[in-house]
Amino acid sequence: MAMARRKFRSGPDGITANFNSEERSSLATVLQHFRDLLVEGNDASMLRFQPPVHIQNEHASEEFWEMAAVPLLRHRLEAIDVVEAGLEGVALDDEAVSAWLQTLNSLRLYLGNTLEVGTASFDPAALDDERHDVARYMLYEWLGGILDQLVETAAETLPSGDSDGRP
Amino acid sequence: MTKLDFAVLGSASPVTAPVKDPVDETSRRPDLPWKVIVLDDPVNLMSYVVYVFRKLFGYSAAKAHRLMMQVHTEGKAVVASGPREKAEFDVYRLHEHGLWAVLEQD
Repeated sequence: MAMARRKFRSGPDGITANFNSEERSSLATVLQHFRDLLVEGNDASMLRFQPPVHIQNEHASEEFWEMAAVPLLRHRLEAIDVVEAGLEGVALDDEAVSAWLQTLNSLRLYLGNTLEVGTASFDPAALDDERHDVARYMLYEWLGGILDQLVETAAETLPSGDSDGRP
Repeated sequence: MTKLDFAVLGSASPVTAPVKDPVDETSRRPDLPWKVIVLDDPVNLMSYVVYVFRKLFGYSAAKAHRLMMQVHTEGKAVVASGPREKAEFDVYRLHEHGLWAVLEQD
């Protein structure tokens, strides 16, 4: 999947996604797979999505996720729905743009963790094609390109802000 | 944990990963602020992390970029602080966006 043209454009009604049929089909397949993983929740690579948050207190981390896991799962599944709807080229409002950003990033997190990107031993040239790791790494890189484009487009509408967080 | 403003509360199984030694909660001083710390992650795009800091905290592009670089080079950065309930909500929002955020009391 080449990255020949911009996949997102700003317009008066919001940002519009612009993917060809092959790209839409690939994304739809990946999204469905990711949705299944989220719902099943037993893939080791999904641990990244619920890490410890209280670094000095394991019990407090468990309590946090007892409260947060279900709403966060629901949020991620709803975001996937929004991305699927946006594949057909409808204008994305701010909420939909957030859903796209979060979902694309989550897909990269999942793929990056399964491929162990970032570990000292990671070598793209040594990926095992028998396990489809080469294809998954290409997808990971492609998603990175898409995400970067959407970040650039979405950032154009952010308030300038200041060092104290006041818009 | 204090009550959070999450939409729905449930009983999903938490991930059990190694954490540092537990701290006696009774030794905590409730008046001390809690720090929201973002940890480095080799997968997240730098541009995305900057965007999330700007979006969630209203930081300028320069401050968001500075914090992102601190995470990248030092492994972590304090991105916000405040009462525990507010800090936990910030952590929740950062996890919504896929950033690895943790809490620590001063």
